[in-house]
Amino acid sequence: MNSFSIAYRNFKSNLRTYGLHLAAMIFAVVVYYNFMSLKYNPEVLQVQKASSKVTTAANSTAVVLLIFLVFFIWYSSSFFLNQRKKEIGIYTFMGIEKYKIALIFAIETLFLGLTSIIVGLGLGMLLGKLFMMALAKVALLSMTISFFVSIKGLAETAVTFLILFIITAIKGYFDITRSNLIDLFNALRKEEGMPKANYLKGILSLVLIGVGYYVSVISVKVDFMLAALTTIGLVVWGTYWLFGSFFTIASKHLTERKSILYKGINIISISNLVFKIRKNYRTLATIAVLTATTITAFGTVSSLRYYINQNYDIEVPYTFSFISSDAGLKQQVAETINKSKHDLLLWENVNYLKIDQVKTNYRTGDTSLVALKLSDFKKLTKDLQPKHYQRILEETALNRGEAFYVEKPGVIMSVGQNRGSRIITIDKLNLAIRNYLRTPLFGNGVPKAAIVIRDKDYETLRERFNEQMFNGIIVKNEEETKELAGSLFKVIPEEASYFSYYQVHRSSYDYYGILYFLGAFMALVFIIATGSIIYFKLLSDASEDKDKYQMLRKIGMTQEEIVKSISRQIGVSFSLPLVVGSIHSLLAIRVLSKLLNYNLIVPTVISIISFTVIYGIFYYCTTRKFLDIVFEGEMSFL
Amino acid sequence: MAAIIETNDLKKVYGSKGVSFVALDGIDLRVQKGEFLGIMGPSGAGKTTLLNLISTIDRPSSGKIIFEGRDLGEINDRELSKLRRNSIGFIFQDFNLLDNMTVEDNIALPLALEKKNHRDILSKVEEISRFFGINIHLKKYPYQLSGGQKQRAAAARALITSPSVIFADEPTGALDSKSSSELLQSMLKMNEKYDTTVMLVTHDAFAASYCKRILFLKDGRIHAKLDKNESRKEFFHRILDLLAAFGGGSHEFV
Repeated sequence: MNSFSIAYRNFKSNLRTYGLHLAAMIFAVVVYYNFMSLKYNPEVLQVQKASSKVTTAANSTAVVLLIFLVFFIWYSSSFFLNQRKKEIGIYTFMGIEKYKIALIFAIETLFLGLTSIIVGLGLGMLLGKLFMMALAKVALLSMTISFFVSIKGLAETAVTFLILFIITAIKGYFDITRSNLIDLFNALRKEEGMPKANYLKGILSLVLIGVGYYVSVISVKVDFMLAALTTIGLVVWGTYWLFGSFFTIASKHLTERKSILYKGINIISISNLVFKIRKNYRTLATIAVLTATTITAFGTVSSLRYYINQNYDIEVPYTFSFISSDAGLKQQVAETINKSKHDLLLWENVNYLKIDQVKTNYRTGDTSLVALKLSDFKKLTKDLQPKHYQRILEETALNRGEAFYVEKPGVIMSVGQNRGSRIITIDKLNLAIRNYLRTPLFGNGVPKAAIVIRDKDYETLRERFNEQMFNGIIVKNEEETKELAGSLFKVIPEEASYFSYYQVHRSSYDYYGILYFLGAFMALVFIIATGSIIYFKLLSDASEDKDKYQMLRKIGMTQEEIVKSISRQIGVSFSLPLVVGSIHSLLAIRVLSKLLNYNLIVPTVISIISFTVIYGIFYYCTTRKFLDIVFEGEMSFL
Repeated sequence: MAAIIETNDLKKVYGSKGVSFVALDGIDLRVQKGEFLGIMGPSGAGKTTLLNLISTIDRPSSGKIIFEGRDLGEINDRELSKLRRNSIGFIFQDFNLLDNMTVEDNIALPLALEKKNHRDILSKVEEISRFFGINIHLKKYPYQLSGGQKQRAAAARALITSPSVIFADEPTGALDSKSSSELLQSMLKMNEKYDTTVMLVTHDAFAASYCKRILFLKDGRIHAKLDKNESRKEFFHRILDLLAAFGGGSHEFV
């Protein structure tokens, strides 16, 4: 019998024990293939005018995904190899040469890899349509989805993973040839010494996180990028020490509080947790950081989607707009509209001043903007009735020397600016910005930031600056105004800055929808992958703990007590990183909300709940499997 | 004297019909309260099986075990756990202390599981560790102790619930001779002071010489009994003689 057939037989007989390892790899392949096929899906590309953007987004997401999946596969396969070290040790002991054993295991790894590629691609093709339907639904795309198999996507996925598995196999080969017999035998049996707790690090971890939080709170007022980077650095660092030292110290203190420790199964649960947390602290801290990142990222893409919808209303509030006070031209436009099948709904006439000599007391200040009367602003807002327009109208009182600032259309969010006390100087008039608004005004027809000033101030400035009249028109059925837009284009001269709804098709906003979908999907992948990393980590302890629990049963611990104790330990291992990560992300989201002036609590709660639910499922599976190993399947009541 | 353990035609068969192995083949036994009973015999004679059955870890294929007047066959798993926790103490060959607890917590374990008041537990731990001479090691972890100290810690854990019986399965198997005699001395002291019944399974004639009575098992049956009615040294020689007879493989012995 040669190595190949031994490996094949091994693979076949071990198929059941591979279980989650195989499932994890198949999952990786399915996910990766779907990303690849998104890149090549003709329908997506067709709908997408900005197809290059989607490709870029899909590509960069795929890179992040790949790095993560590599890490993930690496992790699960080294766990797997570790589990079988004793078996390898026995082979070595029987006198089989190491390189031969290594070869058998390498071939076995390849079989496993090939299986996961084949099954993964098959599943990926089946789920492909589901994936695209989810994309269309979440991203609010207007396209029909048919079954599509991307040959290019299949090939790319297959090659990528083949390379990955070959590398894993080679790594496994060298791991085995380089190992010592004694290590192989002792792999599953290591004496645990009491972890030393570093009090300084433990206290510093809280300080680091605290300072990081503080910096993030004041970040809105100072240089945002610098503050954000500082916060991230401090919090990540603090989190590692938190898990490495603080939790060890805290749980160690619990072992010294005998009134708590000597309460039933606490003595087992707490004593074990001290070791488990310390042993796995790197993994737990990494997962806490990943959790925070994922929740925050999901919050960000969600807010982006909200902003895009809102932005559309700001950029294109009218069906048509032009700038002219010529009564003849207006007459012509009105006649053209009358002749069409569209009814006129609104014709907004607003005067504004074009101001091109602006001095500001802040960096990246505007050099030119437009100014309009407060009374006109109120009227316009009443007519357009944007979201929260009543609130906007309630707060429109201006004192002498004050102004409102309305962001330029097209600005999604402005970060990195100190919004403290800004003063805009026009001519001799100093205007303090009382408030910043994001609300529809003239749309892209007048692509400038605007200030709203008191009618009196407006009259003063009118003598110095050029006044223009804005015409904003809304008609019925604006989706079908292609023809009308064309005839108006002929009527309105070029200098009147004609702008129409049709110029900005809504579909260019789909890009953000796709981004949102990718973000949401990545978040899901991260949740599942981090969950299974904890699963692997905990289960590798299970066989070590087996003897311990057998002994405990002998000295009279009931099965129920053991189940309870194990469940608690596993529960803590899952919830610690989840709780820490959630708290981090809540803070990050709070800052983000402030920055965007938009409440992100809903997407945050959604992602925290998804994390909790999926971790809950993992918790259940891990506990079941753990108990299975400890009791060798002789559970009487499960 | 009252019998604390009684077995009646105890049988244990491993495996299914095709390939079965009879580990115990009809054992009738009476253990008196406060006895120090030794069980000896060659490998595979059924010593550990017998211990497991009586100590409720395993259930017999047939036959009866009466433990403190209760028929073990009529008690469910949960009750058995309770029984093990309260009335039985264990000492294993490989100590089986939990590595990630201090010696103190290890000894306290059975009482902690019972949710006794922690102050009572601590004073009991103090008392019992003093008895076994390991009270200065209470704050240490098992890996910091010698084999003999570990086994005495295990004995302390077994005794802390004041069980009526202590089962010891080759407790001296991993110890050197000095640690062995220290352990056996303290077990003897424990037997005398607390009137604890001890059942000791061993290969070692020296360890067995501390017992007051010895049963010799072979092929799942009781093949011989020895009662101590002389000094330990003489008893030791009698055990050796008997073992030599066993070693000769003389079946006509009984």
